[in-house]
Amino acid sequence: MKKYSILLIIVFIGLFGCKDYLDLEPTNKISADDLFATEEGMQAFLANLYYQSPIEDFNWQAWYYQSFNFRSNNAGLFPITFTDEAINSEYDATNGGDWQFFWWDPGYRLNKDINMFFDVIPTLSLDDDEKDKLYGEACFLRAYTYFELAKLYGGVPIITKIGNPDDESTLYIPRSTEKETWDFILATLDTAIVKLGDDNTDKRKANKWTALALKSRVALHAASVAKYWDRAPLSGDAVDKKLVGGMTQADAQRYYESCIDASQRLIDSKEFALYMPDPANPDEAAENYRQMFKDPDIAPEEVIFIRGYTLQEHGHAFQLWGETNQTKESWPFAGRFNPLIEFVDQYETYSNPGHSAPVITTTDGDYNNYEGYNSSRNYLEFDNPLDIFADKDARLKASVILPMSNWKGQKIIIQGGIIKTDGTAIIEGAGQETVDGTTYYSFGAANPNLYSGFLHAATHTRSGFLVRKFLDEDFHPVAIWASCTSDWIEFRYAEILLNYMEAVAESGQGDASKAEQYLNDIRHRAGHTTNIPLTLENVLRERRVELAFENKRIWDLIRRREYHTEFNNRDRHALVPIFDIRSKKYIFVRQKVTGTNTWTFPERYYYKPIGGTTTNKLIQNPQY
Amino acid sequence: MKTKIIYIIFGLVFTLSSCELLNFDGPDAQFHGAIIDEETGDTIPQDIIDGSTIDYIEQGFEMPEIQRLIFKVDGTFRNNLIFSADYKMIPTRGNFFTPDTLSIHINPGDNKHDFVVKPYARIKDVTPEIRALRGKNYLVVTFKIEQVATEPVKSTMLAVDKGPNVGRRINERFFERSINRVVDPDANQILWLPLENFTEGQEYYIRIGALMDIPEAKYNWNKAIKLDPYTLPMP
Repeated sequence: MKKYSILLIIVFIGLFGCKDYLDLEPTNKISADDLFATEEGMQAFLANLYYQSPIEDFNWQAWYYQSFNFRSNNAGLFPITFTDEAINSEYDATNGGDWQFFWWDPGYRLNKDINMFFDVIPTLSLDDDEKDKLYGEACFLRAYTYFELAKLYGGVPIITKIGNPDDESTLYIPRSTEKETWDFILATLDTAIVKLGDDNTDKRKANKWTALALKSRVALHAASVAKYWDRAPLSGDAVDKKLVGGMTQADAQRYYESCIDASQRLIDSKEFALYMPDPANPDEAAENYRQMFKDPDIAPEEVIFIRGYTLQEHGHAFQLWGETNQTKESWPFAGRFNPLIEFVDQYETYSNPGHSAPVITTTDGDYNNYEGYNSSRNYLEFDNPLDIFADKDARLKASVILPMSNWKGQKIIIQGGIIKTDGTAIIEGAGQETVDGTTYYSFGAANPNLYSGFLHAATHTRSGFLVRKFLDEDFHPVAIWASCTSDWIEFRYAEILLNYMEAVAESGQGDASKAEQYLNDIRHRAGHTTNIPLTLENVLRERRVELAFENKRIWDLIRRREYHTEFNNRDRHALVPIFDIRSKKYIFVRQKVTGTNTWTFPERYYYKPIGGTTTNKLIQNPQY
Repeated sequence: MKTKIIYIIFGLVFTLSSCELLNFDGPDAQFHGAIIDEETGDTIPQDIIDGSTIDYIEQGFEMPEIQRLIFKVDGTFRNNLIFSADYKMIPTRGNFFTPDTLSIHINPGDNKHDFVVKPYARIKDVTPEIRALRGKNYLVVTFKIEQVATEPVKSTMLAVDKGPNVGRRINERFFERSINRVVDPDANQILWLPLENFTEGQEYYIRIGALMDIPEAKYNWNKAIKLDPYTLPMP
């Protein structure tokens, strides 16, 4: 009998258990319907899409684990330290194993969210005008996402609808060719340009001009890959099916034309201009230029698109890693970004415009000798160590902390050695000599807190330089990761001018006289007074110095297929200031950065490996 | 008591017998061999890092991964942990003309296969010597390049290291020189390095390489030459 009653209870529960009141909505989550029911909810969702977007800002982690919004300890391995711009004082970043970009999953997650947004727009209770703008914004974000995917992987699956788990054909979407992918991005941007509004007062959201700026950048990237693929051709299944490469010179010309067209529209709109285009002298030019990166809000005429930071802990760590050892206060990590001498060499002098000006240290003028100090060579002597950089382009001192220059009201002592009265040299080692009551220290001061270079500690530069661009003299390091809140300029007018002139110089299309004018406009803003002609060499040098440390160099090396030739068993080099006690003057030695190895960029790194190819049925990139 | 014993026996039977199907066999074969110059019958010297590869695909999978073997500097290769199965194999992206894809069956146990190919170039008559020039001693190496490929020679390289695995990526010092032309097989080529940074009494190995201007080509090398520290006059 007892058995029957238990059975009855089970039957009862089975029959009546599935009541609606048991279908509870989770109370700690917001459903899609609720989220999009209000304007604020929709805006919050949209803000999150911007947050996820692959904006290559201060929190872009390019190495080991490709990611965005990286706000914890990344060892100071910022993208600039993987290029010929700078080296990290602690970790020789470029030696760290394979080039792994892990943005496949996050990229397609973002893509899914954007697709969801596309589906929601028609259901919103807004007027058509506003729906159009949202549609344009969604197109902009979609293009941004696919741009990053195309840069990393070449041709990728183009997924514009959310997949249906019951229908395999919507889940296993094969890769498009690289050309189709670029064309898709450009077409998506064309829609964005039509749909978006042209008000550019809010620099942190997409508008017509940000879409044009992105199109200018995308088209230049695609054109360069098409034109220069042959510099580093690959082979394999992905190449045979044109999933990477497979573009012709005609495609290159077409993409250059797109770049010229988009850039020209933005330039001709007169919505933007260079910030402080007419400096009275190079010192003023340097200060204007520096101020713009310290606080982009002062230059609305130049800035097109910003990634802003407001809250400590939700900012970034650029200045925490970048601060000099002397000004780091109680913060333990500093001095990580060490610009290379070969990068400093790129800056022209005012007296010899149109040519890079390698820093000359010896009377024979041989700047390719990196063998270190050699007492038999005749070194040039300087009373003031800054004199060796005199006459150099103003942007150098605005971008780089030079040895013995001022920062935060202090002289930043970067000295690598002394030559004693008996002629012996102590270089990159501790040592001192007292002459007539004055003690001279090899590193320029008595204790490590009082100088900033060559101690072979992570906090001291190994190259003789530190980065000044983006730093704020009013910032005091606090012991919180990501406590810097200076904004990141993602697009600025100067880049669009540089894109335009590169496309003109490369393709012969467009207006060469205008391009030359733009080139000299940018140089004029930097204090140059002599015009130089439009040549590819001039354009590329100008691009390197104007966009220094703005995370553009890494892609320039990739899209122009120059990485493997620039980094072919390459050493990176330092400039070591040495005080000669005999003459009481400074000399400089060009040498390999101590403790580093050569690095080679294998050609397969031009594309990154796609994860999970055994399950997602995609064709893997060459040599992975 | 009886039921307990029965349960225990059942339990033992299940746990001891149930997992058999899930135990896959480990790699049961070894595969080794060399890459051989079809004309001279010698092995073709290689780079270890970023050198030539043998791509191989195990047959019978829907989405197989391409697996790779690399060479030792002497042009031999060995994989002691490979599964016995049918494979498609191709030595590729190397310093030789890529041959047709081969179907190779790997049996359990030892398998040897030599790939016979045509190298892009051969390095001949390598002669290292010490020469003094303007008061400085140099290691000067003369050699000849016999081109097999008709493309221009892109560059030549002298690589020096303390070990015999010296090559493009493994070296202490190197000198790479752009050539960009087709070279005469009888013409003496020359490469040099200043001796001042060599350590006295240290053994060094040198190799000479020539890189052909062919997509994805790797350097063609000579066999490493050991410089005897006693005969090498150090400055």
